[in-house]
Amino acid sequence: MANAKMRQTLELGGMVVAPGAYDIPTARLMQQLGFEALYVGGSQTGTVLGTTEPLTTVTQMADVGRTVARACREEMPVILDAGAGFGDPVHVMYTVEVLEAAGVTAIHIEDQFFPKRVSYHRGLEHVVPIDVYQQRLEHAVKARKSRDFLIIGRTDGLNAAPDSSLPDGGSRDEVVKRAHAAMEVGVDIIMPMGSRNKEDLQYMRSKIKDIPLLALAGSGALGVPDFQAAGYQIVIYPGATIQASIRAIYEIYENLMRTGTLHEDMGDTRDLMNDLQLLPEKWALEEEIGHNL
Amino acid sequence: MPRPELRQMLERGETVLAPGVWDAITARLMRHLGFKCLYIPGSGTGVVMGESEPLTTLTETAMVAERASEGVGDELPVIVDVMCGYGNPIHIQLTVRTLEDAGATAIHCEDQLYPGRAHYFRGVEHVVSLDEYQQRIEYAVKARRSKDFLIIARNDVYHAVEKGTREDAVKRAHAALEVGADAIFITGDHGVEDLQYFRREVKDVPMTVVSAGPSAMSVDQCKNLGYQIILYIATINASLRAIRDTYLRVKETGYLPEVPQEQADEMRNLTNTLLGFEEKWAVEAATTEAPQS
Repeated sequence: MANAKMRQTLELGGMVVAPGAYDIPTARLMQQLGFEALYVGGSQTGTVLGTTEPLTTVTQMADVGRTVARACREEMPVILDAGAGFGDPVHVMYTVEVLEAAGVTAIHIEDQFFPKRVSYHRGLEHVVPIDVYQQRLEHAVKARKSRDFLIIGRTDGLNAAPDSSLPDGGSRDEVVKRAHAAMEVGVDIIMPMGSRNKEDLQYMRSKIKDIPLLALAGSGALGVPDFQAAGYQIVIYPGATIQASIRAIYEIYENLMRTGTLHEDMGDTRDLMNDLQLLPEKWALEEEIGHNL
Repeated sequence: MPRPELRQMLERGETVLAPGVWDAITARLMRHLGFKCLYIPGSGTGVVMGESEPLTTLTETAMVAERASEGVGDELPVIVDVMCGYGNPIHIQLTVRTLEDAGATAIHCEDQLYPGRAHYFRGVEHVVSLDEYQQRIEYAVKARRSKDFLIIARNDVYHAVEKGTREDAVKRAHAALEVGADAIFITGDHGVEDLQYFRREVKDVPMTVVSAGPSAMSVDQCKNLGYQIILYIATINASLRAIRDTYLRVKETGYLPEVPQEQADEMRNLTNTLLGFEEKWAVEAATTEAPQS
């Protein structure tokens, strides 16, 4: 079930800050830290699965979405990366059906080519013609069952390479044009990709009116206060979670391989781990029945 | 299929370092760092499945083992913690076959009470009788189809509520060896003196030790004591602690912690390597991204 909280928060003009999660402990950790939404990114999921995003299926995305939503007892809206929608309008409709049934609350669908290309990860981006993009979103909107399930129109039109479907390549105006095309067919949120500075953010906000905008918090210096000041209502974290994990594991085990010794005793993680597994409530139950002896 | 390398490394008298993993990317990271074996600790799987080790099912354990093994193309031996074997001898037979199918190369099976209790995490631990334990190991050995699939017999009697002595621990090790266990794993030691005692009394078979906590032993210390299999259990602690610290910062300030550019680049290159981006880009450069003639 889509969680109505996200639509309500947006309608009231509130902020939705959604850290990246990809399994039960990462989802539950964010809930315990006091966040109120989660983000399941494609790139992060592709990394965890070891496949890369362009090779990740809608089934795998739905599995992660379902796992993460259930980890917090469906109390947190989950925003999920549906990539290019996994195909033509018939596939896009199936994608919406599968992801809504998985219990996520919002999905973003973009104008990249399908099948997706790994070249995107080295900055070589391609987008489909605007009418193909609009059809995707039109059918995504048609396929949803609940009004609480939100469709986010993402466009990669800013940095797209010149090719037959966009001879002059990407531009800010192309982004705005595609955002308007998405709004015409009823999307709930716009996600303009590639905005890296305050000036870009302000430009998009000034040209794309009367609809919530979504921003990505990444390696740049921009944070929630900046996005909020620019009029963006949703902030997602596509990579920070897996990056923190890989970095921490790498440091400890690289050191072990080099020196033969584990330099971290992890004694300070006991409460964290206990809480993530909901052990205190299990201990209380066992005490009631004498299993603590 | 079980990998013959684990048996071969042990027969050659080599020391096997087995770091804890739980998914494709953690498995692949360890292979990248040069580890020759992987470990699926029950404590880690309990965190990943969200409800703690005593509530983790055989199916979940096999799934985690399978995705870790597949993450490295089934090219590394994987040691899996199957706790008590999930029941009586008939269940233990199913456990062995399921894990063998999941691509595991070794399991460790112990003498705790089944079903497990959450109070284990508070140091309240019960064990079954020596006869019942021996039956578990006997039927685990009988159930395996490949001689490369190794049964590591673990016993916890030395720190159980039943107040076993270290002599009891050795007795259980001998009982396990009588029925064909391939390696021994005794928990609850109080330091080097106990480990020496166990090694002295349990002869001619590889011994297993966990390197963790404030007094974690180095590889050389383990080698000198005659322990050949070293298990590292705290990978997931390191991962989740780093993620918590990252998002604690976001929660408090609205900004992600700054990562020095050099480190960010190093990590991006590492991730690209783990995911095989270069190979995929090369295929695209020769096909979908080839210059149009």
